Amino acid sequence: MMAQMRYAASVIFAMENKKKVVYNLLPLPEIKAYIMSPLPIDDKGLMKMSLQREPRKKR
Amino acid sequence: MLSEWYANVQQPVQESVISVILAWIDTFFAHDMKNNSNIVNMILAFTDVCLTTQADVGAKQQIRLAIAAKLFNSPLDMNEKLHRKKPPRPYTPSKTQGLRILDIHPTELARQLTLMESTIFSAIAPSECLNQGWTKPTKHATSPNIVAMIDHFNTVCRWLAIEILAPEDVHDRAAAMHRLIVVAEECRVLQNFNAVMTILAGLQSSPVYRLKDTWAVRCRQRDRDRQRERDTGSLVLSLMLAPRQLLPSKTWDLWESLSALMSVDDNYAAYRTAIREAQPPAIPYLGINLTDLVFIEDGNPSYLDDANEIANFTKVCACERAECGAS
Repeated sequence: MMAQMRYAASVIFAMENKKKVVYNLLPLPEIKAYIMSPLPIDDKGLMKMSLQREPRKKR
Repeated sequence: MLSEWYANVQQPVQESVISVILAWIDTFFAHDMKNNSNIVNMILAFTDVCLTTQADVGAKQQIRLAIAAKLFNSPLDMNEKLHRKKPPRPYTPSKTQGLRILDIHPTELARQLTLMESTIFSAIAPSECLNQGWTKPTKHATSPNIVAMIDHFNTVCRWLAIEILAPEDVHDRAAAMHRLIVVAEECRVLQNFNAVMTILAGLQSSPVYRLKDTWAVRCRQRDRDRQRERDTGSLVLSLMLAPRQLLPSKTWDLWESLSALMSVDDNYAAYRTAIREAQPPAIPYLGINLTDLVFIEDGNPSYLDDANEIANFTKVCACERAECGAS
């Protein structure tokens, strides 16, 4: 159990350690807006779209 | 008698309490106090009420100085000092309206994904990782940033599936696929493993992965490229002969190396090695960390007795150590 606990501690520690320095990059809001506002299509709609593009082939 | 009690009992207890307060300020100021002036005021009131004797002046001053240092030297300042260089010049897309994936430079797309994800990832407090808070009905209150990270993963997955499925022409769909694989590689270079996994998951989602004709375009292209390389015997010659057709072959190799990196084999051994060796800043694929924590949480009881009265202090200590070590 102690080993597991130490592992849990190391998981959280490793996560925290990776964010000690922030990325030095410039944000471009137009790209963020483009990625974060996809068409309102659910999983069912995506599959329907996929089937339209490439219908199932008859065997 | 009283002086003995003061020396042997009261003083050590006071010193311990002061140590805990100083450690709390040092480690969790950003999470607990930066946006909550009530806690700071309570600590200051405590020092005023409880640390009144001449002997306590030093401790009182120490606590006040620790708070002042945190207030005026945020971790962001440290980053500003580290980033003396200007950020790289962005690849601004030629248009701002009606953007499609091919309008944006893959490096820039990777950078923007990384910026978005690093903002959410950096906001995750260690306490959000405890007690599987992100799986509970109260997840938006207990683990808001982990939930935001998961939502972001799903949104990006859906976005890239739509980007691939939107074009009616099979070659356009293949072009979108190639672009996304290159973006995933750029994310790997930035050590954004979460985005690498997001893109792989999106490409391997059922609606995209079943597009055999689209994937076949890539495979046929790759076979043709490799045949040409074999025929000419030189990569440089093949570049000269067919500069447009080299990319798909390269992309295919990228796909294989990225799939190997994020492979589930040996419990994500390749990825675990990569993230362990990565120098910050990096963004881990949160799904694996959360799965690990769920297994650990489920495998260890929170209480040591049936009546739920004796807390598993070992578990609490381990979490506390993890959080202290996180600063």
